[in-house]
Amino acid sequence: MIPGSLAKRYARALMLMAETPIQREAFGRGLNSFNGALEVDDGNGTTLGSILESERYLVSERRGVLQSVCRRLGVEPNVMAFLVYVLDRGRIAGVPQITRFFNEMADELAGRIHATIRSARPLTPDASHKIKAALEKATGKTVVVESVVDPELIGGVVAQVGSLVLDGSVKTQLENIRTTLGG
Amino acid sequence: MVKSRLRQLIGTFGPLLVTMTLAADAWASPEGGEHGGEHHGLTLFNWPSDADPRIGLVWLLINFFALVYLLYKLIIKNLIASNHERHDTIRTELEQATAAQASAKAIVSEFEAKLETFESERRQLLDLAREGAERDRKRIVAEAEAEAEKILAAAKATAEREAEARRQQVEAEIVGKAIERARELLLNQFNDADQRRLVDGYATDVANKTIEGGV
Repeated sequence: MIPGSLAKRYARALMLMAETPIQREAFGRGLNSFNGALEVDDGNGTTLGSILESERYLVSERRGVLQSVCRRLGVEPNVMAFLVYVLDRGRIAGVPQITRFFNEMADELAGRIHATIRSARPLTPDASHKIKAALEKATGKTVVVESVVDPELIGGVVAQVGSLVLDGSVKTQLENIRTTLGG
Repeated sequence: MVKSRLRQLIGTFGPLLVTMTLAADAWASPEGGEHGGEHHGLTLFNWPSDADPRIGLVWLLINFFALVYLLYKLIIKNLIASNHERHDTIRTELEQATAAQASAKAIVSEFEAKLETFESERRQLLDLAREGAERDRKRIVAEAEAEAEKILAAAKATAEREAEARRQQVEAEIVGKAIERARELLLNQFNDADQRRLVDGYATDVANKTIEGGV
């Protein structure tokens, strides 16, 4: 963990390295891939993040591991160089925060928002597409949908966009009926 | 005291006794015979002597008036003065007694008036006490009635609240059971077609909304 303001500065620096929106998206994908790899457990409770943070290994060894992983993940060379720089500065523990701030900045620049859609049963591609289109029309932004199955809802859909919740579930309708009837 | 009184008696009766002795002596003398002469009738200024033992009328009168004077001076005057003094004393005492009687009458009148006043005040106080007691009784009764009404109203309100709460509880139980039953039915009978219909409706509703600021 590193201070939030510092993580934001690193994220902004990486953002400035991207010359085009396409490159920015590529940077984001690479950064998110590496960030995901940091938490992967080898089965013995050891993660890539813990190895890179450990002082038991030389910096050069850790740098080699990082570069090796980045190449395996197909991370953009600029992003890899950025991560090496972060490692050399002893801030590798702040990669999850940097990734989060980078994603927020990228979304903002791309006019993109994330929505979590919960439904009682898995949504069909058609249903997911309809909801995504409806949310994009309502918000005027590109919506990145993440689907979650929640059988407690009985039926219907609940979409959460930022702090806004659009509830169309049967469970909530039953609760509304209960409230209306004075239960 | 006794000595002074004795002296007064001697002073009073001494001259009288001398005069009477002299007079008796004159009258006791023989009317002539023994001294050889014959003297009859009254004389005016003759002083008794061996020759003529008669006493003149003037001397008798002088003797009488002297006696009267002495009686007056020594006895009658004192008696008059004493009578006056006693009269004055009695009159003073009488006046004092009269004044005391008047004072006593005034005091009696005053006390009678006071008694009447006291009686009037007693009656007044009794009346006031009765009125006050009656007022207090009415006030206490009114307060008790008001308190009873309050208690009754509070009890009624409590009963109504409890009844309402119980009614709501029963309603909630009924509604809860109905909702639970509806939930079970929905869980058993909800199918993909229902889900599609709900998703379509949901998508239409969301599309018709305008989310300010794009969230």
